[in-house]
Amino acid sequence: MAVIMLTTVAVLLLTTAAFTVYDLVTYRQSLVHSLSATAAILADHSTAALVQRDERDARATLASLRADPRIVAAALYDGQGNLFARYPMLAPVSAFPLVPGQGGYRHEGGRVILLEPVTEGGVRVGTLYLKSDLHPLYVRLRFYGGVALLVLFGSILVALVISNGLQRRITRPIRALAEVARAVTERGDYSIRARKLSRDETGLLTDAFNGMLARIQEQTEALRQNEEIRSLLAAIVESSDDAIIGKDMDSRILSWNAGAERMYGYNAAEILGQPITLLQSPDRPEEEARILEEVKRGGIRHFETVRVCKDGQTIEVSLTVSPIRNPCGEVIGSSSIARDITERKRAEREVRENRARLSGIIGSAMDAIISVDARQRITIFNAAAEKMFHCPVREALGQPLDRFIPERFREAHRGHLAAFGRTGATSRAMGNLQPVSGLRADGEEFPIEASISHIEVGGQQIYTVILRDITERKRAEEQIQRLNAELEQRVEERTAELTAANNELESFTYSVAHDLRAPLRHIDAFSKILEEDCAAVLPQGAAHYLQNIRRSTGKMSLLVDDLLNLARIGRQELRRQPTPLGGLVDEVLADLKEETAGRTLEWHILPLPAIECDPGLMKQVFANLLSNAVKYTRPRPVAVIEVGYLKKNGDSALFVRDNGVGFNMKYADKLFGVFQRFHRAEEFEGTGVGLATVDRIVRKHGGHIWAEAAVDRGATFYFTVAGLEQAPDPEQREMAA
Amino acid sequence: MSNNEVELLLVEDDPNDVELALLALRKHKLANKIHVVRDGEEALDFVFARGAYAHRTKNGPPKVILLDLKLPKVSGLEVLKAVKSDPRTQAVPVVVMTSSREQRDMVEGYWLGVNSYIQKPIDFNQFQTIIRDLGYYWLVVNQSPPPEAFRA
Repeated sequence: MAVIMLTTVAVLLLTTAAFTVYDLVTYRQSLVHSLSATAAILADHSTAALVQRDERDARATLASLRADPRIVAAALYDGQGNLFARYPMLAPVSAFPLVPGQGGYRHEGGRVILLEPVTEGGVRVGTLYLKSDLHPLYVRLRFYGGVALLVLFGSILVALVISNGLQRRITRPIRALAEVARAVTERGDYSIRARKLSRDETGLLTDAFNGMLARIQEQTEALRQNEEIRSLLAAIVESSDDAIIGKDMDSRILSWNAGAERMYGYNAAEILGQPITLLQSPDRPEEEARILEEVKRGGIRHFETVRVCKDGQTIEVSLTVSPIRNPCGEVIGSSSIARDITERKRAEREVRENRARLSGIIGSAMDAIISVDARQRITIFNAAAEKMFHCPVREALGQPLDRFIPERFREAHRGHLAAFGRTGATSRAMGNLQPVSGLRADGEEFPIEASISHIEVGGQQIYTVILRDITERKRAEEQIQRLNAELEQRVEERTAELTAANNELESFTYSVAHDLRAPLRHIDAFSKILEEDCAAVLPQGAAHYLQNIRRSTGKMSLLVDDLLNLARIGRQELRRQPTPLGGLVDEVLADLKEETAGRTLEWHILPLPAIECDPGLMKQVFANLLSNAVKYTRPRPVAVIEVGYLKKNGDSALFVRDNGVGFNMKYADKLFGVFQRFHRAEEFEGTGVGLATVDRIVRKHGGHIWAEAAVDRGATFYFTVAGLEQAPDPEQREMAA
Repeated sequence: MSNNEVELLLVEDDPNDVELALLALRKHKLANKIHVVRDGEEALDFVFARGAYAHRTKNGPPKVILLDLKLPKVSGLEVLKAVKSDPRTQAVPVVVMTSSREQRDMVEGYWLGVNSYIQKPIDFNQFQTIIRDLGYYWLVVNQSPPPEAFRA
């Protein structure tokens, strides 16, 4: 619109300007002509005045110029060029040029100067000077300007009216179309339509535009759907665990999905364009040719083969090869879908092996193994079952299990099985079942022990029972029970006998203690009385005999006491308590003081532990061993006696060592027997009961005693006590005397 | 000084022991008023003044009883029990003299209230010494229970 208006105004202005210039030029020429005419006339009238030098007349002639308002000044110069007359008369002389110059006209400062020669008979007698302003010209120019402005405004008005009408008819529909086009471009939305505003050409244009949009929309939609299907297919191929490979008829690889990359280890970049034989086993050189043959015939092949991965590993695959055709139906390549079945094959082999192993186990099992299905029909019946039920397998299979269960147990057994199935347990051990009975084919009943397991395979309940014929065991058990009962009876009898014997022994000991000692006392007493009171009347030598009698009674008294002690130890209960052995040894040493008076003894008492024992009895052990050591070192000028505790190879023992007379090891086994003596009574006194007592005490403490010795090389007695190994670290002490 | 008819009652079945005991007591002049009974029953008859000893009612109890344990009819421990459980006699000092070294006899004796328990040594010298000390102690040194100690 603005453009239209600008154009209109420019055209109008140019046109008006052209006309005005033309008119002004034309008018100025006519003005000059008119001035020239006036000048010529005036020059004629002035000739006389000039010639006669009549100044008044010249002034009057010039004054006639008042009638022409254009003339602002006029002058008459004489033939010599001197100013002769001037108009208006009061105008200063300086307003006129000094010399008039040649004829002609010129513009000067918006005025026209005209010089007209005044002639007389062809002789120039002077010059007329006229000065006219262009006032009429400017009036005329102002008029034209006003007209031009009016025309301009009128034209603009008309142009506005016209363009408004045009816009409503043409511009608006086109602009709407442009808007729609822009929206479509910007938003890519082809469903937008332009509105039809008229039935004329622009209406047709809108229809055509909308038609085009509709077509584009349809095609875009079709394209989008195609793209969707394509990406769906691509996603399926890409996400498949199977290796999906496309190849051309030259067996070159054209496509390679992620599954293929995972399975074979090659990525797409390195494998595309490579021959498919790269993946095939060199052991099967003819494979690809056969596949190609099949593909050419257009068939789809499924088969299992092996493939070689990038790392050289061989995998087993299940392969589907199908032809790819171009739109004309020609086979241009093939696709192969491979699935890694290495794991499946391995599992299958394992299943086969397991089955073989299981059937081996079942066949060689010592127990009868029988499986039944949900209807209680036998499906497995092993060799042991054949033997147990005296029934060949071919007769047993398919038979109800009831056949091998005694009539009276059948109901209970069925209930039991059902209950077992309900518990959801998968197995129950033999011991958890009630003892049941089996029925052999020949009708014999026998006791069995059973375990049962239950599995569900493909919705089928399968129960497997493992049976053991316990006839023999039952018999053995019964026998054991009978023997046990007998044994118990016998033990009771023996215990009673033993108790009686013990009681007898006790009363015997009591008798010995009391009755045996009394006569001894009497013998001693009367011998003594005889010795003292009747010495005067006794023959010579009698005193010596009496002394012998008394010594014997003394010895016998010791013997009786020792024997009683030994017997008491046998019967006595141990009163165990924690006892530091060092303390016991100290006590024994104190008791021995009297006996060792006057002798040189070196005691080496090494650190001894504290142990759980009967302190009274343990003291007797040390008392016996130490008094023995003291006794048998009597011939030594310096007796060395050592008491200590050894820990060696996990064994520990207490020991008492002396440098005494020792003994011959060949009698070592007699050492701890009652009344066993290695020395004559004259050499070393003793009853032969001491070591027997020690042995009994040590054994009562769960230990044992032994000795190492050599004749004249001393002796060492070792003994152990239960719990000695766990004894805490021995006390640190050393003593010498 | 004593008004006891019998100062020492010796209960002993073995004649040898009786002889030896008396020998020892006599040797030390301690056997003034000794009565010997030869079994438990007789001992109890004497102590409780019954049977053959019924006439003894007026007489006081002995200063001490020397009691062997192994006795015919009624054992020494039974005699001890009877004496020590009767208020009329329980104040009488009883000294057990026995050959036995059985611990349970000793335990039983002390439980029943024996005043002294002596094992007869085999050596006669020792025996004599013991008899002498014993007689001296119970008959001379020891203050016998006053009559009030014997409640009827």
